[in-house]
This record gives sequence, C-alpha cells and structure tokens, in this order.
Amino acid sequence: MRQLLFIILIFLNASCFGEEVFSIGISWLGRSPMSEEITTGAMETFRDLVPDLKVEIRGNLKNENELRILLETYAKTKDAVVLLRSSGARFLINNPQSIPSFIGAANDPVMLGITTNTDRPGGNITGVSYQIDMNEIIQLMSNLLPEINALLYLYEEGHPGSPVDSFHLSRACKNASIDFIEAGCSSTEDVLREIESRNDDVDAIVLGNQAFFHNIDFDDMSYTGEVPFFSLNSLLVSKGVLASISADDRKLGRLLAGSIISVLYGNKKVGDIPIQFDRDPVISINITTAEKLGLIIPIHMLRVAEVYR
Amino acid sequence: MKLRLKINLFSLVIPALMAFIVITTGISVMNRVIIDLNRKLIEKDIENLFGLIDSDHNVLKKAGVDNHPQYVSQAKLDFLKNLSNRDYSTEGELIILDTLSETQVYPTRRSLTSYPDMKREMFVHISGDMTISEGNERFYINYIKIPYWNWILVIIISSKDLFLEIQNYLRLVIPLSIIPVLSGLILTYFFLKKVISRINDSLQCLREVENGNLSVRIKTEPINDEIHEIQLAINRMINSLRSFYLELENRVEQRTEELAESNLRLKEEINSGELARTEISYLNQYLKNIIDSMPSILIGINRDSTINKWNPEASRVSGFSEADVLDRNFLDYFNDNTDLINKLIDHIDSEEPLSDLHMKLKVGGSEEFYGDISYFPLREKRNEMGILQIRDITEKFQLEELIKHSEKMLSVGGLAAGMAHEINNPLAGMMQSAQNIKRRLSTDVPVNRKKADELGITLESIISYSKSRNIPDMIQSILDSGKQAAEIVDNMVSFSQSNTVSNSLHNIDEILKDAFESLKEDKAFISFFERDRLTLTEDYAENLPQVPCDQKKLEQAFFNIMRNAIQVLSNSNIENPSLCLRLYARDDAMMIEIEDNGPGIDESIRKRIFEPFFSTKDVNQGKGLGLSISYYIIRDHHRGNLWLEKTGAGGSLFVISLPLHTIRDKAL
Repeated sequence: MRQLLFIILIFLNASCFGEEVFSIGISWLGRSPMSEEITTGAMETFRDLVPDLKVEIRGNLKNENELRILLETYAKTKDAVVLLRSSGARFLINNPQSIPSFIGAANDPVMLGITTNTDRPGGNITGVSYQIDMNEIIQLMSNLLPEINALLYLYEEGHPGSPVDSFHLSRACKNASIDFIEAGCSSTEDVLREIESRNDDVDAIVLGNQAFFHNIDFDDMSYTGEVPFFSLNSLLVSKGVLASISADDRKLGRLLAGSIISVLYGNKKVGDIPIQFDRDPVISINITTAEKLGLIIPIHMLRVAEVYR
Repeated sequence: MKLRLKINLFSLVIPALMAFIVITTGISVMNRVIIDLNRKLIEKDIENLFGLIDSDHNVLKKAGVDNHPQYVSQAKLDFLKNLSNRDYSTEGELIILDTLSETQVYPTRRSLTSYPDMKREMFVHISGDMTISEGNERFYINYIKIPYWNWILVIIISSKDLFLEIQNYLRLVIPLSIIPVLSGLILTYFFLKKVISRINDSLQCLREVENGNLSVRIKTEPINDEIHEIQLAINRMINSLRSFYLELENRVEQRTEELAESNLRLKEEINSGELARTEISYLNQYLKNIIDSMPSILIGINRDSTINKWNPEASRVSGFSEADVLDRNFLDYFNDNTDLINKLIDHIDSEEPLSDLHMKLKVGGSEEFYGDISYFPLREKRNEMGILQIRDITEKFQLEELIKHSEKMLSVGGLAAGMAHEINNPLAGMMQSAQNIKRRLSTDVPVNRKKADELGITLESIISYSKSRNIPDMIQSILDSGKQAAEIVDNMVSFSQSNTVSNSLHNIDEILKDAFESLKEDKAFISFFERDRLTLTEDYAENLPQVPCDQKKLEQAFFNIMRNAIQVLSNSNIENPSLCLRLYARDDAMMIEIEDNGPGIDESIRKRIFEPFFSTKDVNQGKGLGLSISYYIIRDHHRGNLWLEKTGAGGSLFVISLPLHTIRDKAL
C-alpha cells in the first residue's frame, strides 16, 4: 500500500512537472538474464508512469573499460545512470558518478561496500538488491527433504557476489546445525567434479546466484547421483534444479523504477531513498525432478510455489 | 382513576405484559431467524470446505499430480488434519463419506449417535440440501460431492441442536433478564407506594389547609428528593399563609373599624349625594322639558359639526326624528341655503354668538319659512360646541309686512283722499264754468238771445263762429275730461271712507258671479271672451254662510281683481287660459280665492301692487287704482284681508278673507 501511494505521488509529481524530459542510461557487464528481467520490470513501470522518460539500455558490456567510456558519456548526456549486477555496484563504488546512480541485480549492498545503512544509504547511490534471507532456503530444503545433515554450496569463482552468498548461507546452516561445505567453480567440469566428489557426504547441493550456472544444462550433465539441487535463482529450476528461492526480478525492476522516478520527478535526494529488497521471495519447484528423486512435495509447498515440469 | 392504580398499571402490569409479549415474540422470531441463519451458514460452510478441497485440487492439477494417488492422499490427509483446527459457523456436524469404500472418512467415530445413517444413495445431485425426519427429530442436511476425491461432504444439523441454542439462550437470558426485571418491578412498586404515601400525606395536609386549619404541617422524612422539597415548600407556604392570615386578621379588624367610620361618612355623603343626584336629575328633566317645549328649533352641535340635540320642534318642522339625525353633520339639513351655512360656519369657527339673522330657509324636509336664526357657542370647552336656535317668524314677518303695507296704504289713501278733496273744488268750478259756457251758447236759452240782441249780434253768428273754431268740441272735451277727473277724484275719496261698515248679509258666490258677468260685459274684454275659450272653474263649498258686506263695493273689489287676471291672460297669449274661483269657510272667516294661470307677477313689484296709481300696464289700459281700490274695500270697508298668496310661472293666486261677523256683532 505504501508503495502504491508512493507511486501515485510520484505520478502526480510527474504530471506536475511533465514538461521536463529526463534521460537515463541502464547498463551492465556481461550476459545476465537477471539484469534483463529487472530492466524489463523497470521499463514496464516507466511506460506506465513516466512515458516521456528517455531510457538508453546498454547491456552485456564486455569489460569495465567499455563501461567507463559509456559512463563518461552518460555523465554529460544523462540525468541518472543505472548499473546492474554486483560487478556494476562495485564499479560505482570505485568510480563515483556526478549524476544520480542506481544499482540493481546486486547482492548484499553492505557487504559490497556500497553503504552501511540500507534504509538511508547517503551519498549518490541507491537502488535494489536481490539478496534474500538464507534461512528461508534452509526452511525450503527442510520441507522437501526428509533429512539434511550436510550441504554443499557451489559458487562461481571470482564473482563478487559469491562470497556474500557464501557468508550468509554458512551462517544459516550453522543456525540449523547443518554442515556447510562450499566450493568455487569456473566450468561445468568443475561443477561435475565437485558434485561427484561430495555426493556421498552431502544431502543437498545449493548453486550460487551467478550467471555462470545459467549456462549449465543439468539434464545433459553426466551426473547420476540422487542428491537434489537447490538454487538461489528460479531460472535454474526450469533446467532441472529441484527447487529455488529467489527474489522476483520483475518486482525488483519495478522497485528500482520507483526509486529513479522519485529522484528525477520527485526531487528526492538519492541518499534519502532506501535500498530495497524483495521481502516475499519466490519459491520454485520442479515436480519432474521431484518425481525422479522419488520425493513427494508437500501440498502446502505446492500451494505457494511456482511449479515446473 | 386513582394515582396508585395508574402507577401500578403503568409501572407494573403493562411493562410485565410488554416484557412477556416481547420475550415470546422474540423467541418465535429468533427461532425462525436461527433456522434460516443456520441453513445459510451451513451452506456457506460447505462451500468453504469445497473451496479448500478444490483449491488443493487445482494446485495438484497445476503441478500435474492431481491423478497421483500419493499427492491426492497427501492432500486428503492434509485436509482432514486441518479439519480439527477449523471453526464452523453452526452447531452442524461435518460428515465425509468415501464413495469408493462406502465408508465414513470423517469423523472416524460418530460423536453423536442420534444422527441418521448416511448412504451414498441419499445424495442424488452433485450438491443440494434436504430435510429428513427420524422419530420426533428433524435433520437439515446440506451436501456436495467431490468427484476427483470420491468424497461426499455432508453437514447435518438437528432441530434439537438448533433449539439447543435457543434453549441455551433462554436458560441464560431469561433468568438474567427476568430476575432484574422482577426485582425492578418490585422495587418500583414499593418505591412508588412510598411516593404515593408521601404524596397522600401532602394532599391530606393541603386539604386540612383548604378547610382552614393552618396549624397542620406535613411530617417530612429525611429523604433528599423532589417530594421532600415539595413538602418543605408546602410547609413554608402554610407558614407564610398563617403569617399572612394573622396579619390579615389584624388588618381586617383595623379596616373594620375604619370601615364603620367610613360607612357613617359614606351614608352622609350618600344622603347628600342622593339629594344632589335628585336635584341634578330634576334639573336635567327640567332642562329637557324646557328644550322640548320650546316652540323654536333647537339643535345642539358638537365640535365635529355633528348633532347632539334635536328638540321635538326640530323634528316636527324637519320631519326627521332625533334618532335619525344624531351624530350626523347638521349642515346636511341646511343644504339649500348657502348664505346661512357660510354665516353659521363663520360664527361657529370664531365661536361668536349669532342673533337676529332673519332669512328664508328650509330645515330638512320642511317647507320654506322665515326664520329668526341664533347661534350660542357654549363656554365649556367640551365636545358640545353650541346651540343653534331657529324660530319660525313667518307669521310675524307677514304680519309686520302687512302692517307696514297697511300703514303705507293708509297714508297713501289719506293722501289720495286729501288730494281729491282739494282737487274737487276747482274741478267743480271748472266743470261748472264749462257747463255754463255750453249752456250760454245754446239757442234754447232765451236770455242768451236777448244778450246777443243787446250787443247787436246774433246768437246764430256766435254759434257759427264757435263752430267754425271747434269751440263746442273743446267745451265738450273739457266736460268729458272733467267728468273723468271727477270719477278719479270720486274713487280717491272712497279711500277715506274706511269706517263705513255694511251690515247686510249677502251670498258671496252670487257677488262673485255678478262680478264675473259684469266683466264679461266689459267692452274691453268682449273680443277676449269671444276669441279665447276661458276655462272658468268655480269651486264653492256647500252650505256657505252669508257674509255681512256691501254688495256693490264687494262686487267692485272682485271685479277689479278678476279684470286684472283677464287682462294678463289676454295679453300673455296663454294657450288654455283659465280662471279658478274658490269659496270656503274657515274659522270665522269666508275665504275667497281667485287664481289664474297667467305668467304671474314679478317678485320685485309684489310689494307695490296694492299701491294706488302703481301699474305695469299701458297708460290706456289702467290707472293703477283697481287693486288698491279692491284692497281698501276689503280692508277698510269690510275689515277683511287681501293678499297675493302665490305668484310665478304657474299664475297668481289672490286670497280674500272676510269676517263672518262684524265688529259690531262681536260687541253685541
């Protein structure tokens, strides 16, 4: 309700100052389906509330140098800039911009060093984060599996969000008295090797929320074990992962758009706008994978989850 | 109805009846409402249960496991597990039948054995409701079939359960409501009884006071309420009354003494006042009698010109009673006389008296008369402003006019007689001389011839000479003129013969006829009588007495008057000339009226018509002695009267009155 009221206020403000035309630029490094989803959610909101806003989207940039050049152009021609993914957030920390800056598809903003107070970040950066409470994935696994004593967490080696997820998941496992094992991967082979080597030691495998894992086809993978996979990204469920819990990327995009409109059309200061999270993450379950594993998904989980076959 | 009965009725009986009616009606209505409500609630409950099952079924269907026995069993178990935590809207019992196993899935053990057995065949439709009876008990059933789970959900409720709620309600409510109501009624009864008792005490006390007992007081109780205040107020009022009463008694005693003295004084005053009132009344009556008996008109006038007094003479003259004219403007009754109104208004406005104003006037509907008008303003500055007095002086005026006329006529007559006497002697000498001249020229007288012979002339020559010079005609003219003058003188002498009173009795009608016949033979009017058909009307009363008179003179008098009338009629060319002669007796006089329909006599000469030598005719037609001779004949020779009664466009009326008895008769 507060968000709706806020959007209405923004809309009214936008109507009042409708004569001014703003322009923003959205960009991210590398290929990122999550960034694409967030951008889609934001654009939907822009179309509805500020259709005159000019948005330039430059995704899948190859390297930081290319991003730097782009941001120099944006600093002169745009009213705000949005950098998605944790890599983008980190780049903004190292390269502060003169125009309002927003992050999206980034992990824990505190651990990334963006701010120490997400409710009032200060400075010239705010935005949205896909970070969720890791206790919820432990809870999900407990509902689907009869027993969990040990857990393997696989992450992309070198990804800035990987240590963040690792930190939070290890704490959640510790709270649930589950042994936490983690391993960094750089290729599908690394993933397969780690899985097979830990197959007998763990009851579940959790894949990190990095684009790296999107490229793995679990159906084609030569893994024949019966340890179920879980993920922090719902896109992987459709590829054979048993279940996931993650933020709704479209929702994050809409929240991000609201923050941008507040700054441009509502004359709010960037530092006064809190960094927002999805407090009601999405549970996704692959029923075919469950059948293969011989698992019966509880009816109360089926009631709340997005089910894939 | 007594207050006690009213209070008991309104505070106890009616509320109790109303409470009974409300409770019984409420129970009946509540019963029906509960049944209807439970039916709806049961229907809603079963819809909710179906919604839960259908939702789970959709979840399973969406997940593609709706036909998976394990998932269906899990969903069923989850549903049954949650049933124990579910609250229902009614007292109804949920029963779940498995149509495949023909078993009752829920509840596994029947909690109420009084429910009838449920068979699959009982439920024909996919959903519905029904009522079944078993023994004295009725059961309401609502059901729905779950085909994908092979279940039938049934909710059943018995009438006993429904009434159980009402009974529970009544068990709870009736004692809770009746006890306080009864307690309230009882307390109200005793409270009101006490109130009525206190009111009755107050009433009894007031009745004592009403009967004159001012020593009584209400025994108040130490209850601080409105009645207590009223009782205290009544006691204070009685105290005040008692104080007033005692004070009043003292005052009455004082006043009684003062009154006795006053009575004595009053009696004296009354006696003196009575005398004064009697005197005033007498004076009022006396004054009224004076006013009413006044022979003149008295009109009291207010300041706004309205009439406040109108005496009987005014009523008699005007024809209006006092009641007709009171509070009306007095000027309304003098409308015909602008001069009089102006003079009256001047004097009324200036508040100055008016007296000796003589003029002709009319009052209201009266005939015109001569009035002596006086106005007396009242000194007292009240509404009554003045008195208008009008005396009818017509007769007096006429008498004065007559006296004046008579005196004038007597003086004129005397003058004429004197003149005649003085003229008579030289006239006689002249006549004698002319006769002698004529006789001395006659040839028949011998001395005339002798004297002529002595002078040497002949008488014939003298006669011839005189004839040639018309001397005989001149002498005859002197003789004719002298004779005419002698007749005039003779008539003038008759003016002085007033003391001659004839005593022979004659019929006046015969004299009148003789006079008219003489007139007809008058050569001056022969042509008139031949040409115009004069209408002669003779209106003579019967049995008229004879009148002592000189027949010849009276005939002369009548002749003169009628001759004047005929002269006027012949000269005025009236189409239908008429002459009316009337005779009638009145009191001690014979009245003779001679009236013509000629043009009348001008008002300006009216007073002079009886004067000698006054005439409006041509010189050849009259000498102006006819009417004056008639006047002297009537007045002086017969002690009668002659006057012109009326004249104008309708003609002239001469009236003659002749006394039926002479002065000498009266003296005898």
